[in-house]
Amino acid sequence: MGSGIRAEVSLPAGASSPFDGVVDGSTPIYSVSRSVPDKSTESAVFEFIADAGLSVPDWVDVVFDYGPKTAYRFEAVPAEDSPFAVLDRHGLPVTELTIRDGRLLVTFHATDLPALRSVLDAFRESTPDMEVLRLLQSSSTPEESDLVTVDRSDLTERQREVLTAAYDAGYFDHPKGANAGEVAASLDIDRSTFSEHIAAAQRKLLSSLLD
Amino acid sequence: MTSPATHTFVCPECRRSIEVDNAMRSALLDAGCVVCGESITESDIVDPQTA
Repeated sequence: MGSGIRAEVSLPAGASSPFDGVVDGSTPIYSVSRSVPDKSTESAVFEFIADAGLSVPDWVDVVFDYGPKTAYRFEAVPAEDSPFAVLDRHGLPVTELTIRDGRLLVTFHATDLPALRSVLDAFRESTPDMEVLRLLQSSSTPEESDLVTVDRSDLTERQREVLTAAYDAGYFDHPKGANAGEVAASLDIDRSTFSEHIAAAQRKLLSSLLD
Repeated sequence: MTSPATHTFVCPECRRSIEVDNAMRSALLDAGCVVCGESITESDIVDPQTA
């Protein structure tokens, strides 16, 4: 069993991030990948998934259309203190990177505690505003863990809205915090419309969980 | 969706708040704050949360 540590760190999206000038910090970026095509240059190709129709500079290409989301690509030379460069110097790949509310959320696996400390020191040196959100050690992962991936974009915007309202109102609690009629009224829709949306949403979610 | 029970560690020195699992909790008690190195005690880590 490994002694690695899964670290989730939050950093400001501007400053040394390669996304500075590419997207507004408030634009959600759902995933980022990177390729370094030529070792003789320091530039890297970044690709990210974000909402379709973003206003991006000319040098950012649209490479794939996923409907409501789009894959964008650009080339940049990451600053020496960018999170990518810091992790590269430690020989650690970025496991996951997203941008939410102006913050870069970086997940990586440190090989051990000294490696984690070294990375965090380097992050903190360039970005005092660094936050360490979560640290997990692989040895504590329950062996019976049975993860599934749920693609929330399977739900329509209306289904998500209805599901959220129902959940927040306690519709799924026992005893119920609100019945179908009350949640429907809060959304200003018919009870039958509410029932259709909620059934469709539940069916989609359960099909992902139970397959 | 549930994840392993986690604890919230708040460093008495740098005041950073970090969610940690059981194994990481033990590691921090041995090694100190992962950011500033300050030694810590059990009272700096609050009870498990169910995520």
